[in-house]
Amino acid sequence: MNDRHIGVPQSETTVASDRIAALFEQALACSTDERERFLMKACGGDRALYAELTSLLAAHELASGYFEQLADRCVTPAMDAITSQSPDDGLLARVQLAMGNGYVVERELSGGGMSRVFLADELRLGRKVVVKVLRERMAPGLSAERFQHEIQLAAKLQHPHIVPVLSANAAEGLLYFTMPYVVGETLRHRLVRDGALPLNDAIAIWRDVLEALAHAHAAGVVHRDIKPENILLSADGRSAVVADFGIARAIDSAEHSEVRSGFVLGTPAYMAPEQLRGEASANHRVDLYAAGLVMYEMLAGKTAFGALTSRETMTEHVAPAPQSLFRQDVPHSLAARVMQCLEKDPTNRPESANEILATLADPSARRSQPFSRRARVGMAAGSLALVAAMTALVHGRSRPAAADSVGPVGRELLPRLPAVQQRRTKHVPTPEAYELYRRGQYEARLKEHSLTTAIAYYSRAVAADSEFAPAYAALAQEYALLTAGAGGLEYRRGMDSARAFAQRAIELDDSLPEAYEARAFVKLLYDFDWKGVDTDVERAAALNPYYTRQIYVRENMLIWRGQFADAVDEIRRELVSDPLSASTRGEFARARFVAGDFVGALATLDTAQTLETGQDLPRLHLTRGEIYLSQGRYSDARHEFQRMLEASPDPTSRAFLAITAARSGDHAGAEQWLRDLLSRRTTGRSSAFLVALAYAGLHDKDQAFAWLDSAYADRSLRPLIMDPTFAELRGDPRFGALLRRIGLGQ
Amino acid sequence: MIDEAITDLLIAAERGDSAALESLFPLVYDSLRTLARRQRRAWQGNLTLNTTALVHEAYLKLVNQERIAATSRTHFFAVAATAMRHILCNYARDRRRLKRGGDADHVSLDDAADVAPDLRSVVSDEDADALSALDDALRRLALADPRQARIVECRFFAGLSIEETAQALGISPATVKRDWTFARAWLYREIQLELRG
Repeated sequence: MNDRHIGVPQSETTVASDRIAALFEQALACSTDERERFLMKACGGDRALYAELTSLLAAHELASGYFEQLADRCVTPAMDAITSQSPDDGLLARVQLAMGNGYVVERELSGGGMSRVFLADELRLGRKVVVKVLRERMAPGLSAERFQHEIQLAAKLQHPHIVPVLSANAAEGLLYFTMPYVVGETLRHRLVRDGALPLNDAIAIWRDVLEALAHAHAAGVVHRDIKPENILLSADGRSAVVADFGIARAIDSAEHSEVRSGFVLGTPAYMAPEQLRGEASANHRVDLYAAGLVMYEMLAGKTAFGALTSRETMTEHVAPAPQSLFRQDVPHSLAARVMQCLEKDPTNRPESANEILATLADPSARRSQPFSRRARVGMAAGSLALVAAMTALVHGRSRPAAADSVGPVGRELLPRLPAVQQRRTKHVPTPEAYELYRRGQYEARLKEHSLTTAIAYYSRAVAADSEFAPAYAALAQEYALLTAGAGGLEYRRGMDSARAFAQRAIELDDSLPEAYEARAFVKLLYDFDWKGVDTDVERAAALNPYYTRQIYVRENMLIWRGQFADAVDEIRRELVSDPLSASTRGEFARARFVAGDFVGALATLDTAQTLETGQDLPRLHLTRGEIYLSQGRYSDARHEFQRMLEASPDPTSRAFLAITAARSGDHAGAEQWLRDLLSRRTTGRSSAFLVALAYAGLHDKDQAFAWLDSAYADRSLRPLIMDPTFAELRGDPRFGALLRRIGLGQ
Repeated sequence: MIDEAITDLLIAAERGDSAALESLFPLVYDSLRTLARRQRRAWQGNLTLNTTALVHEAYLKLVNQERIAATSRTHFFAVAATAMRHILCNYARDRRRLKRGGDADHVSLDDAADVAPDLRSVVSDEDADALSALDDALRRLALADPRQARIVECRFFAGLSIEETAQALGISPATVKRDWTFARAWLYREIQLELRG
């Protein structure tokens, strides 16, 4: 029975239980003489335990020196190799030389696209300044005079939202200028970190940028290089200052004997078409175009033209129109203003920054429209298809919870549960039971599609030792997972078994967090016993704060209650302790999606996909598919749900294929998927809930609510109904009634 | 080389923003890898620097000290520890696969190609095997007890002291000490079984 799969450990004891760790520690504390006696007594005839402990104690003697030497031989040299690389190419010394004795150049900060940035002490004034050295512009023949002349104009600008230029010079073949050292992040940092910004923050930042532009334009200075990198944010992220006014033009004039009429210099991604073409007519409206792009990015979390290389970007700006993609909380008038800034023809853009500011000041542009409050609730609402989530999370990969695979094991076992005797001391399992239990854990954790195999092992473990609490707890967990996606009788049986096993585990040993977690899971999915969920989850957390599985029960609880932001926070905390798990990150994406942050969700999904290759997590497809669905990208959505269908027998994908077909106008296809769900339901391979979802997709609200009633009756209701995809339903009074019936809502 | 984004995220993490902490890993990982890739000088056999000092050096190279509280360092160390584990163990694993030969075309050699030329002079075949076995064992340990696995990363891959590890993971030094002692013995046994078996 020692079948060796890839990844199966070499030693007989796979994982160390807390008990073994505790005994190990006590044995170490003993003197060598006492140790043997202690072990004999502690193991009390459990030979497997005795062997385990002696082998660990023997390993301990050698382990300390071994790891020290291994670190010395590998880790230290590798780290050394990595850190000894010096990025200093001598530029710092040249900057110091160029700036002279008045400054001490301390070190390099970050590098931007057009410049490298240094931090220097201005000795005379005892302040820190930022030195920007223009990249690729260190050729001889630069005119310091022209550069300084041009920049003087910009240096005169004095405005609360403009970062002043302190000095500018060309020396040592370097073109550089200094500005005050501003502590804070750039808008680019913020966008990279958070994706789309809250509406009020975006408006506040845009207003500051526009006020800076209005002031500069009135003084005859065109920025020509407005972009998130040049917008610095205050600590609270709600006000902004704009840097690098007039720099682009100054560089241009330093390099050319006469100031050219066009504005070719700039950052291609943010350059207006006429600027790209170098047209003589280019004017202050190139800044409005760039400001429009920046606002678009703050609202959408991505650029108006997608991720393109410079060359492609340039073509795009001159040719096609940007995608009009806005969040539902953005008022139409504001969206229209932003799109107007992006007009190819400058004369179609707003006249001036002031004209846009006037619109922003108009309260109607900031107030949400009558319907948008509801729309926002819809956007923020959503849920997790708990089943697949739990399976994926628990096993670190997709684990289908399909009725197809429900085995007969539980039914056989259930009646055989003997009466429980209360024990004071911890039960020591028989070696055979422990071995079977351990195998079950392996099956459940490391191999694909082995839930039923794991259950078989756990069942044999409790057959070998009827008082082995952890095996009962594990059975409870696996049963809940296995049947959660099913409908009908199998579902009821599975959940009854799960509850009974959890109960049994708790009676035998009330210190196992996994037993409480399994019971909470049943209470959440099947009993709609919210109070019970809270109690069990708290108990699990109290028993072991590092036991994180129950966090997902809590998260779904929060989603049922409509506390979407809290659900996001919950998963965020989990991510800290498990940053490399694709499934946890997938959950984070899901929570963000449910909370209405589609852009953030997509970004998180991208990261999740880079983390674990070779594993096709159905949950990632579900979330991505739903986002595409909401964006009207039906063929992309269909692709995702198809992949989900291939990766997992969970019938949830079928409901979404029905919805996708319906929304893309393929009514025959939608009908077919619906019939499929209905016929599967008779064999317990889909549920009333999924049929309800399909009807909701077909915009047949009456049918949807009728089926939701049946879903309530057969307990197949899932928090998935809270997803933005089903926002339409939530406006209906019947939805509130449904929530009240399961003890939620007012 | 100072990376303001890393600095920003560390500051945010220090304020309790856990999302920032999770965003940190890919950045630190990429920076360390970029450094490794760009590294031209072969390792000269200098054993005088210890790992702790080197993680500190990486910290100095990547993080803007002026903007950051001293306590944020431990967050960086913990993240760097995981990054180091990945860099080293991916390298060791790819090298083992190559050595076994035969299936070179289905092996992704991204990491090996990037880092291998520099690490080849550093890590022996034997140690590469050990690192690979350690990584496998750590994965299994993480399933049973994620905390113990994190402690091993901090102690072994970043050379953090008991106290620094405790601070980085927000647990007591006594717990670190106990878990480290146990995990070390357990891992040693797993590695030996793997290498000999």
